[in-house]
Amino acid sequence: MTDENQITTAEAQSALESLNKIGNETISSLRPPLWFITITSLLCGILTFSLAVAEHENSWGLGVWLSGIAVVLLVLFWMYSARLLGVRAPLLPPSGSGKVFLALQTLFFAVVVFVGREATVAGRPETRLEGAFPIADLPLAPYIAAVIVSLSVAYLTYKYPTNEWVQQDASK
Amino acid sequence: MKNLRFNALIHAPKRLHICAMLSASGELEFKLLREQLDVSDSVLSKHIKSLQEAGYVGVAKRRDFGHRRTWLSLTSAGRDAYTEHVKELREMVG
Repeated sequence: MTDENQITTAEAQSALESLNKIGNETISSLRPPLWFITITSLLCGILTFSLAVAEHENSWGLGVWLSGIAVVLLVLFWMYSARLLGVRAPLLPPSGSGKVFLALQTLFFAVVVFVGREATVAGRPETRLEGAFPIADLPLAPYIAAVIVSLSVAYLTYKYPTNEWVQQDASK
Repeated sequence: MKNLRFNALIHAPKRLHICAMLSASGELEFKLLREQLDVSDSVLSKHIKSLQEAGYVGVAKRRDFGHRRTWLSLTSAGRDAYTEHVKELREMVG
């Protein structure tokens, strides 16, 4: 149902500003509480660290399981709470841009976790292969990967709580 | 003043608000949308009906937690129409 109309640039600008305001209000109303964002991002950091340093000889494998289960339970709890409040957040975003956004996030986290793990393994004395991995000499690799994942999860959950790519300044 | 081929149905303030909210989420409950828009049931129903007739909004009634609830979502046609509309507005502003 389209129609050809005439509107002024000022009217278009005003509509975009209004959309910008609505977008920000919607994001604020759908955003999980800060305690949830903090705990989830910390658990994702612990999960990344555990994945990087887990070996047969240490107990970080348990850390992987515990933090993984805790993250899944927290997300399920949030989806349940949101549903009670009147928001159904799908696991896969319905829009094409949302799916691309989710795929890029997944790729980013996969790369960080993989590099963190590989750098840690390549840096161990028993498996050390000189020059085999460019950051094999980086002893802080698991910590750096954990911090990157933790901060990214916190930022993405805060800015894009529904996993939908929402332009948060539509007037620009 | 410029000629702009835009969607008159979506451009109405309340309907633009509805589409903007639905585009940022999966499904929203009728009650939540009504509170956010600060309108009565009948006003929101009227807007939803016109969007539904155009094929832009999907309405699903389900029993959740023992209550009958009405869930609203943008259809793919509605999402495309809204995206195009915003794109047209941005092009006009430049």
